[in-house]
Order: sequence, then C-alpha cells, then structure tokens
Amino acid sequence: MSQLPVLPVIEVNGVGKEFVQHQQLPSLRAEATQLIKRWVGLAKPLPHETFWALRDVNFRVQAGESLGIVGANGAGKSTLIRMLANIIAPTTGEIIVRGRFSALIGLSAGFDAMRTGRENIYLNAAIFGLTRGEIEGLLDEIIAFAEIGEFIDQPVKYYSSGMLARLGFSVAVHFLPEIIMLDEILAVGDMAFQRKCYARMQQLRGSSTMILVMHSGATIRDMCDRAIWLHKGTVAMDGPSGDVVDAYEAFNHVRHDDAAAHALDTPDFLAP
Amino acid sequence: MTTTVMVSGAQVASGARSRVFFAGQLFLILLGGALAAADASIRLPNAAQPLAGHSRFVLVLLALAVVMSAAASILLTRLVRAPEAATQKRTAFLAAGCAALATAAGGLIALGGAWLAPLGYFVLASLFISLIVLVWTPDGGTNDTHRVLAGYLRGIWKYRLLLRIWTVYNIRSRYSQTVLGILWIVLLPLSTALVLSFLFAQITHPGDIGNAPFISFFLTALTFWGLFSSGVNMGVRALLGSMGLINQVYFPREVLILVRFCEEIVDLSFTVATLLIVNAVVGIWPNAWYVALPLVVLIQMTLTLGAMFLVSYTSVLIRDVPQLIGVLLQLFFYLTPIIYPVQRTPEQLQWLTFINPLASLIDAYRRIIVYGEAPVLTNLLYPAVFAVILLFAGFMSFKKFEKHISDYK
Repeated sequence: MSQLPVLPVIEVNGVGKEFVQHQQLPSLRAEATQLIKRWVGLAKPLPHETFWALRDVNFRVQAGESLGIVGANGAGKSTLIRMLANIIAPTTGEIIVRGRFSALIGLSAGFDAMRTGRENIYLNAAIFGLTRGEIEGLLDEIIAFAEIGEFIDQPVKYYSSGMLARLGFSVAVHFLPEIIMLDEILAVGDMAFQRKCYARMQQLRGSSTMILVMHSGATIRDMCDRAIWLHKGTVAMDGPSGDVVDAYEAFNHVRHDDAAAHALDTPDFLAP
Repeated sequence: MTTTVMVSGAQVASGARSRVFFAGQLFLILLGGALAAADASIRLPNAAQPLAGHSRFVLVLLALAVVMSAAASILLTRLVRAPEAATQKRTAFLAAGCAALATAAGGLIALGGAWLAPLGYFVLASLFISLIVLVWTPDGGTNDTHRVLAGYLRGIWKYRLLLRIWTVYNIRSRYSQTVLGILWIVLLPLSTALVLSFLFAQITHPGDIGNAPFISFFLTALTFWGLFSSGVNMGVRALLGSMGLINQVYFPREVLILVRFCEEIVDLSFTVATLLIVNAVVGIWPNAWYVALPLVVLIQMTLTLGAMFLVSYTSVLIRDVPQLIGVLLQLFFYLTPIIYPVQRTPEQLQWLTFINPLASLIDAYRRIIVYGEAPVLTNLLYPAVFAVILLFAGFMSFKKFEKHISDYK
C-alpha cells in the first residue's frame, strides 16, 4: 500500500511549540494600567520568558507505517503527540493529519470522570464519529477485551489506573482507526494485559498507522518500523527503529557512565 | 470516509490578544447600550412626546456615543493586524466609516423621535454586526466570515450524536444523584418566590403590581431569570470543569457549552411547567398572548448562549472571572426588575434600567403571563439585537480562543 503514490497520512512541517511564561505584575492595578496603556499604544507588551518545547520538527508518516518516538523526559514527546492529536496548536509550522485517528493520551484516557465506563465508551465513540448502531455492535467486544467486569457500569472516577488504561486501549483499538496514537498508556497495565495489547497491535500493524511514545526501547524495536529520537525539542535522529533505539540507548549509557563517574567524586558523607 | 484535520498556528499562545478582543466586545456592547439608552429616555416616559424634557440626557448620551464610537474605531485599527498594509488601510477606513455612521444613526434616533427607533435599531444592528465581522474575521478583513461560520456550524452538526448522548447522561446523573432529584430545580425558584411574596406582602403597596397575586408576579420573573443566571453559572464551569478531558481528546469545544445549554433548556421546561401550575392555582390562566412567548424565550436563549460562550473562555483565560461573574449576577439580580416592578424605578432613571436587556425581557414576560397584555415589541428590539451580537461575538471569539484552551491548564 505504501508503494502507491498517495499523500502521507501525517505531515509535520517546521513545527515548533512555544510555551509562554507571563511575567506577573505585582498587583491587579498595575496589570490594569498596563492593559490600558497597551490599548492606547503607550506601552509595549511586557517582555515574557518563553520556552520552546519543540523547534523545527519535520517528518512525514506514510499509511501503514508504525512510528516510535523516544527521548528523555522533557524532550517534547508528549507535546508532539498532543499536537498530532489536535489537542494543542503548534506555534509555528503546520501539522496535517489525514484520516480518522484515535489517541490515547494521559492516564485518564480521555474519559469523563463522572460518567460510567459504558457511557464513556459511547462518548468516545461519538467523539470518534461512529454512529449509534456501530457503537452498539462494538460494545460487547470492547468490554470483553478490557476485562472490566461489572465495573463497566460504575463511574470511571472509581477505576484504578490499570482499569482506565485497559478500557482506554480497548476503546482506541476497536474503532479501527486509520491512525492510532498512544502515549505511554501501557506502562500502567499488568504484564498479562500488556502482552494482550502488543498482540493486538501486531495485528493492526500494517493496516493502521501507529504512533507510539514509549520509554522502553525494546518495545519500540518490536512494534515499530521507524523511530524518531527527540532530544531537547529537536529531532536528533530519524530512521529504522533498531538503529535509532541503539543510538538512543548508547547515548543514555554514556550519560549514565558520566553520572556514575561523577558520583565517585562526591564525598563519602553525601553518599547514600 | 476520510477527514482531514489541519492544525496550524501562527500566533504565540498569549492571553493579551484575547483580552483585547474581550475589551473590544465590551466597547461595542456599551456603545449599543448608550444608543439604546438615548432611545429609551425619549420613548419610555411618554412615547408620544419626543424630546420633551429629556434633552439634557439625550445630549449627554449622544456625546457618550460619539466618544465610544471613536474609541471603538481606534480600537479596531489597533486590533486588526492584517498581513498586508493595503488590507490594514482598508480596514481602518471601514472601521472609521462604520463608527461615523453608527454615531449618525444614534443622532438620528435621538432627534427623530419615537417612530424612528425601530428603523434606527436595524441600521445599528447591521452596522455593529459588520463591525464585529470585521474584527473577528480570521486573517484580518477578508470577507469569508460566512464561510468560516458555516464551517463551524457543520462541525457542530457532525458532533450532534455526542451532544445528544452527553446531554442525556448529564441530566440523568444530575437527577439520580440527589435524593429529591428533579424536584430541586422546581423547589428553588418556588421557595424564593414564596419567601419574597411573604416579605413583600408586608412592605409593598398592593397598587404597585396591579391586581396580580404576589406569588405569580415574583415566580414569573424568577423562572426566566433562572434561565439566564444558571446558564451563565454553567458557562463558567463548562470548560473549567472539563479541563482534564480537554487535555486528552479533541472535539469541538463548543460542544461542552452546548451540552450545558441543552441541560438549561430541559430545566426551563420544568420550571415553566411549575410556573403554569402555580399560576393556575392562584387563578391566572394561559391567555392568547402566549403566542408571543416563544419569541421572547428565543431572544433570551440567544442572549444566554452568547453570555455562556463569553464567560466560559474568559473564565479559563483569567481566573478572577468566575468570582467576578458571581458578584455581577448578584448585582444584576437587583438591577433587573425581578423583585420590583419597572414602574417602581424613578421615571427619570428608567432608561438606565432598560440598558440591561434582561429588563425588557422580564417586563415582557410579566406583561404576557401575569397581566395578559401584549408585549411592547419595540422594547424587544434592543434585547434581540443585543442578543444576536452577543452570540455572534461570543461564539466567534470562543472559536478563536479554542485552540489555546489547553495551554491554560
């Protein structure tokens, strides 16, 4: 399918995300006068500190490809996947996503805490764009896969994080999305469920496009054809998943060794 | 079926711009208010005598209108940062022209007398709407606003199943979690009305409210005030209460507001039913003028929805807004003729009361339901125009801010 001259399903062109930390004025009065001055044109906007979580990220994903994203904490992985899922807007550049996607981001998996598991399946399906008939057809299968049992009719605020992840994953894969985006969601499930998820993802591989954010290099190596290594908000490496994970792990080992060497220098009384 | 989602951002996620938009809205609303006040001051005390004894008010208000329209036009030229200089110039020119026309129209109303007022309102309405279109058009001043708006409405239509399911769930859980359930929405206005009528029976002259029973006099106003006040309260919480969800799934955020609005409508049907029953008990039966009720309710719903859009995103943007809204609602409860008849305000100051669009609406409800009279249709024009502007401005600025909501968690 990827040989056909089709447009890539995901295009990320020169994307950057800037977070603004507004300078706080000492009082509301100062804030108000500043605001008025700015309208009239007497004052310029306050200087603010900005932080670029991502800068000039470019890549394309073809239909059926599965892409892993690795990187240290704070490298911008979550920011990137949240932008792909249209939750936050990029500051510069553009993101084009072609096709219906389901995204599983964060621990509560996009559920309304007050609603029951069953109601949340309906809500998520409606957000995804399924019709009532389609939802009813999938309902039993989703509940069975998630192994939630009778808790399905309890509000999700009473669910454990493992249950939330199971239900979230089950919902996300059963809609047969063209694109699946997963952000670290499997970390909270137990081993048996993780194995079940990986099996399911292997099934979907090739037919659905997958974007996975993972800490485990081994998973990326198994599940993905290709990987991107984000480092401090820029793409450090983009290539076959094995190569990228090797490079990323090698880099981490160097850092780890550095840290270990540094630890030797610390005086004895500070050592644990 | 393939859908394409395009996300592009050319702006820094900064609150300043949205704050300026908010201020721009306020300016335009105040301008409309000033002009309406000029009109009300002439028309209300004695509709047959234009300008009689009120010239001072008219002059003050006209001056106010001129200042405000000038300020609005300055604001506009500052607001619209068009990509090319040519568009910028055209926008500034249009803005100044609109301001001048608006002021002229205001003057026309003030000098022309009562019969010109409805015409003036329509002129003003179209001018304000074109002004707002100018301001809120994406990319500054191109004329594809209607296409943008149509796109938004198609988006809402696409998510209608979500809207319906969510509303049903919310209503169901709201009434299953409390012991008295659905009775609460009926009990609250009813108890307030009972307390008020007991109090006011002691201190008011019976002549103030005509031959109407106290209970239905208060309950009529409270029922419809409730639609607005609880709508605004729900609007404040609509986004703030769902930030977790907003940070994890994409869907058009206005669905959250519309769900709350639909809940409001369901609540209203219960409170109106109660009102009708209570009225029947005290001997006030439905009359022929009820045919005008849907119009008044429609105006009020438009107003409420517009206010909900406005407060929902400003509450996320500036965290003082929820508290401020609480205070303002209290204030407006007393400013709006709810616990007193409009006639109790000094005649010289009645125009001030009618700046508040809810005042005319509550007055209309009372005329229809309590007194069985025809509503004053020209009094409804100002609230109608106000409501349409508020909804349009509220919705467009909401959509403008939408993609930055998650930046403010």
